[in-house]
Amino acid sequence: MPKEVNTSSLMTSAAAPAADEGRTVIAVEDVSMVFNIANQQLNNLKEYAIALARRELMFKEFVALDHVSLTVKKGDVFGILGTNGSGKSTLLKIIAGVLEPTCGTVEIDGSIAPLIELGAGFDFELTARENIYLNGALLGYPRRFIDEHFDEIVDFAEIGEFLDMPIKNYSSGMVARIAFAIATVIVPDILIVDEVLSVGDFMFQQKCEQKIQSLINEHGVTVLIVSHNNDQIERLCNKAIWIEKGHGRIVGSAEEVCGIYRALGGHTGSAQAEAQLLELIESPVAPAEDALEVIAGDTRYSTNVQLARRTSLAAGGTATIAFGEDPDAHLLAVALAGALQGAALITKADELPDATALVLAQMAPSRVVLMDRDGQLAADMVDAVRAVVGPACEVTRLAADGTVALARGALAYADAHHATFSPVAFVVGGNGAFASATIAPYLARHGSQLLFATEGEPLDGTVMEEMRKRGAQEVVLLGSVPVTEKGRHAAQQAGLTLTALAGDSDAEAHRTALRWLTERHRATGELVSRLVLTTLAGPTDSYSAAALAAQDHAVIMMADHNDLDSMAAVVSFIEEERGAVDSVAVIGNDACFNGTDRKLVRKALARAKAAAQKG
Amino acid sequence: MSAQSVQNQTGLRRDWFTITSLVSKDFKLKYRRSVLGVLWSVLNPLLMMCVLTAVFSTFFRFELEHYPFYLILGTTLFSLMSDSTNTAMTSIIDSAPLIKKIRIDKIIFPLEKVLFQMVNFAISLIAVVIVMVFLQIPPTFNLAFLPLLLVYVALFSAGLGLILSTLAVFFRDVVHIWSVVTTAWMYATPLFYPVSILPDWMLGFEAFNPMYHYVTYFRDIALWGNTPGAIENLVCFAMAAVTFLVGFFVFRRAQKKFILYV
Repeated sequence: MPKEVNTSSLMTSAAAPAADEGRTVIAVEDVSMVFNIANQQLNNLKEYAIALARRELMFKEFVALDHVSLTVKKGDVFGILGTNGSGKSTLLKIIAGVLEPTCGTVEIDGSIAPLIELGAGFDFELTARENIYLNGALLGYPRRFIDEHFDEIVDFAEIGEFLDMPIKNYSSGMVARIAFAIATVIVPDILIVDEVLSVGDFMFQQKCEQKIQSLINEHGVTVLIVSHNNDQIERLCNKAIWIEKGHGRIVGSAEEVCGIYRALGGHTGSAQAEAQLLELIESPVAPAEDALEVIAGDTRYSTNVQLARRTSLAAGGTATIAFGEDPDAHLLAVALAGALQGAALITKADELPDATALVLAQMAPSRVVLMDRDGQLAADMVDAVRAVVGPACEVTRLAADGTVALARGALAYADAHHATFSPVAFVVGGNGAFASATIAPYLARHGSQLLFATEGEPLDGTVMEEMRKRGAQEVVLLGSVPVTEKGRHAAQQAGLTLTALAGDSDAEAHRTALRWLTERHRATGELVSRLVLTTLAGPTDSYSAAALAAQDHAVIMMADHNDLDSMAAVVSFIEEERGAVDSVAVIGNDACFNGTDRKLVRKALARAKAAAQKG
Repeated sequence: MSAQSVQNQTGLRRDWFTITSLVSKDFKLKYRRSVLGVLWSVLNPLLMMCVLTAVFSTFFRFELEHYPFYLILGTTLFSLMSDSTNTAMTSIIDSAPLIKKIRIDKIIFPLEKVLFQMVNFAISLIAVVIVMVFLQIPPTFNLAFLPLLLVYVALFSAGLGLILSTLAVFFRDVVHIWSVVTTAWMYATPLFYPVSILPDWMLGFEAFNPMYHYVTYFRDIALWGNTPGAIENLVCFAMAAVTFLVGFFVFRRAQKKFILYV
């Protein structure tokens, strides 16, 4: 699936800007900017001649801006949002008169002070005093004006005692301060600010913002701001435009555009998914309160511990521990714990994390199984665990070369401890991680046989027979599982049904597995009342969440907030369940799912509930 | 003071302040950290004259009266032109960061370079005066024509500088070619040798060599005490004016595209 960023206009009737009064100071009409990339790479006659001969001169165009229009009224503080390379700075340069648009017109009413990349024309050999005059001259100030405002500039820049030192000896923050001070010493009609607020330290940024605020409030200056900082735009601006890859997407109030940008900006996915999410953002429904909880630790280990604490841990049970950076071992630990009604934990390779040790001690298990594939775990891990759980507990190290052997070892251990298995067995093949992550709650709940298969060790008749002996009636293949001809034949003979759950991408595999799982739930008449949202970045969090999801009758959905389709799938799932899903547990910190994503989910919950009550 | 009144002053006066600021920057940077500073602008032509005099009077023995003075007049005036064109040529490329970031009249940059070289030339005139005093060459009223000559050379250099700076933006090759061209031009112009040694066909060529006209003009007023005639002035002016106008229009036409290529 190609990763695509949508660039179509999002202007709906609701988003259309109201025709407001006031004098228009900047009128950008249908402006396009086309760069000829081919031409710009030619630096000498030879290259030019070659390009001419190959007729490449007129090709390779890059459209930086494609028919963008906007109107800024007097006194507006207008924000321009967009991801890197979307044409924001090009637009500002066109408005500032630095660049000439390929087509379209720009009309400006008033004087412009451009704060575009401060300190242009500074010479680092010259002193601050000399640079102030030079830069002032380049910005078009008369000498008398600089004389009059010299002290003001020096005061703002806080460089008093270093005035006659070459600025090459200055810190970059000091240089930025001088540049900002010179640029803002006049009170322009229009101030253009391009990312300048992202330089310098926090104190300086505040000072700059205050200065801009004072220009806005006291002098009624019209301001145009480009920033990556969404919050800054929302704080300073009253209107905003979102530009994506040169296309104007939406113009409106800063609050509205920022809200939409925050949820959709820079994210990839299909247009339908985007439209679905946009519709939800714009819908007036109030986000559901208390329906969403966040479970997140600083690391995968602390997340794992937090999740383990949520599940009811019976003393004297079984705990399985796997290496946290080996998802396959982790999955096997989840399956084994499921078969023995225990809990699965993860550890670092050479030490037991403190939080893990603590939760292990509280569980007071009677048996601990260390899942060690290819000797990943340090030799003294058994001692470390023993020190935590005490001498009464039986600590076993299941060591094996390869996941296939480790899975067999785990099953043998389960057999030895009289585990009973569900009639559904699972076999994980290549790229099976995301299907497995979805299935993990099933493993944790029902205790299924879990095996691995590789090209070298495919699923053959012997394995099929073993699975049947352990009570399997159905074998679900996760990912691409190689099955030998004999294996298929044996399955047929034994009356085992083979179901394959796979997909071209991680997200697709996850969806296929989710569909299978929800059908299972429906078949047993068991309602899915909860959704556990985990990141698509890796399966570890999903495996960690398996036990909690199993306990709460929840399904795990994996999503990536940068992937609109996955987020739309989450929203669709909640809405299709029509109120049955009444709460969501979000696994992962703000880096995985931020406030905007959570708000989106809460809105979906509220709307699904309302729909269920109505119908 | 509001920005309106700040920016409403005449563009020309504003540009002049910008140009003088840039000249003063170049001046400060040129002599920063050298002990003798500005003195080098005087010493350099003098020392160069000594070397060239030693070389040419030993090996070639030209029959020229006041040969060192003959030499320094030619070399200083020629280097005014070659330094102006060379620095103006790269001025647009060098100020790329500025051009990309602020709205500024781009013609300022090559013109500023020419003006800066004029300032340097003015300083090196001290060396010329020293040689004049040393060789006891009496000054004449013809020296009053010097400002006129400087206007011609400045216009001519600015015109060439504008053309070169425009070309250099699109084809960096020009930068390399031009140093060869100036060297060839220097030898083709009678700076070190008397005009009399030139073959007839070369003399025909010199008629179309503006630098030949300007150097001869300079020697006429400073060395030989001749008053340049109306026709000579007209030729010199026409060459300067045509070059400048061509340069000006070439630059004006192309300057909008500069930002895409620098």
